[in-house]
Amino acid sequence: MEVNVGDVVLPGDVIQAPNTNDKGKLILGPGLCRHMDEVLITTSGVLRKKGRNVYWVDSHRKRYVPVKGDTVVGVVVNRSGDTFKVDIGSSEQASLSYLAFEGATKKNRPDVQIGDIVFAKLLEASRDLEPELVCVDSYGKKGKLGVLPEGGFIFTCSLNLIRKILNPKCQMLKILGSEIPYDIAVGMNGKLWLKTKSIKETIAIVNAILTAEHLQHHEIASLCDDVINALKGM
Amino acid sequence: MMFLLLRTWYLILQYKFVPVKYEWAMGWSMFMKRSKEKAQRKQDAEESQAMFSDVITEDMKRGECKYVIEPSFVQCENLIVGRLSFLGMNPEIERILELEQKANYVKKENEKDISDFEMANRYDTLVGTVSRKFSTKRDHRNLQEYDPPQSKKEMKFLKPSCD
Repeated sequence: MEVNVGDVVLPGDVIQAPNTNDKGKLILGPGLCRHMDEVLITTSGVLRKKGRNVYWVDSHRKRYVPVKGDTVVGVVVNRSGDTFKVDIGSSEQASLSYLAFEGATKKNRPDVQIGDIVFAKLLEASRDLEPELVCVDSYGKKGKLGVLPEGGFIFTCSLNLIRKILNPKCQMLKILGSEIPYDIAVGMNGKLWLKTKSIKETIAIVNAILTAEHLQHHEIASLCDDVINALKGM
Repeated sequence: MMFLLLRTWYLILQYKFVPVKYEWAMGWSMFMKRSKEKAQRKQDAEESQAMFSDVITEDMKRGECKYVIEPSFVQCENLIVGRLSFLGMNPEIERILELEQKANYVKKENEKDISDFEMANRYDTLVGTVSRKFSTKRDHRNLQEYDPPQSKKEMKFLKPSCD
């Protein structure tokens, strides 16, 4: 069946052939695959389009499949020789070399313990290989990556919710941040790490984020205001 | 390239096989050996193709590619990096965010190479020069005559004040 942008799509559907004579290449995002000269859908969801040539399927998903370049939150679960094993919620644990930290050398090992939470970038994510994480950029600087501070609360949510709150159009985190001091790490793998000054604030923010799953952008703004008012009233 | 090489080998082998008419005693064992090799080679080729199947597409073999596969949502939806801090909870991260914001702002400003204001200023100083280009020689001379004579003060030795 042929489908258009904005339709609910199912695996096996064919995208209405976008002008194939166009010079620009078509960019096929997640949920699409190319078969001969047709573009097929591989996941169920809503077909989206950005700009002139970017297509993808917006789907509800809870299981994370590692993708190269994604930033994820993970828990260090094991340490074997030169690498740490990090649970990022994918089918296989990711490996994180102890040299992939800022300023780390063979002699100067980073201080990472089992149970620590790391915010890392996926360097390698292939079907046949173990996903590999790094905590530095290509210049060897840590930037926003690295071991997250002591304390805090880690929770999981669906992958589409993560995409919703990280969308530049969504002001949720900003609105909450204008009144409540907090530190957050949102991984593309559906794990979130949150640190605030009190347990009440943590509960409020976690609930607000989880409630946002089924809300529109403008509803989210009023939800945030409610949460802030409730916290102030206490 | 590799595919082509394999393909040629495969054809050569096939060619050799078709006219095989050995005596049964000798030929059969040779045939078995060769067909085993052939099967092995075929399997190897299949395996190597399967290994790179997600990287090398049919179009790449044909030498044309209309599609770019982008497996990440981050690029598609312009998602931000999910590491944020607010109201001084983590000054290190907040500093990075501030720098990023500044860089974004500067980038937007710089999209216009020269601002309108700069352009106006520049042309303001050129008005005289450009107008002279369009004036006739007589105008030019008149202009020069009516130019107020530039008063040139003669440089004098300034006596340093002695204390």
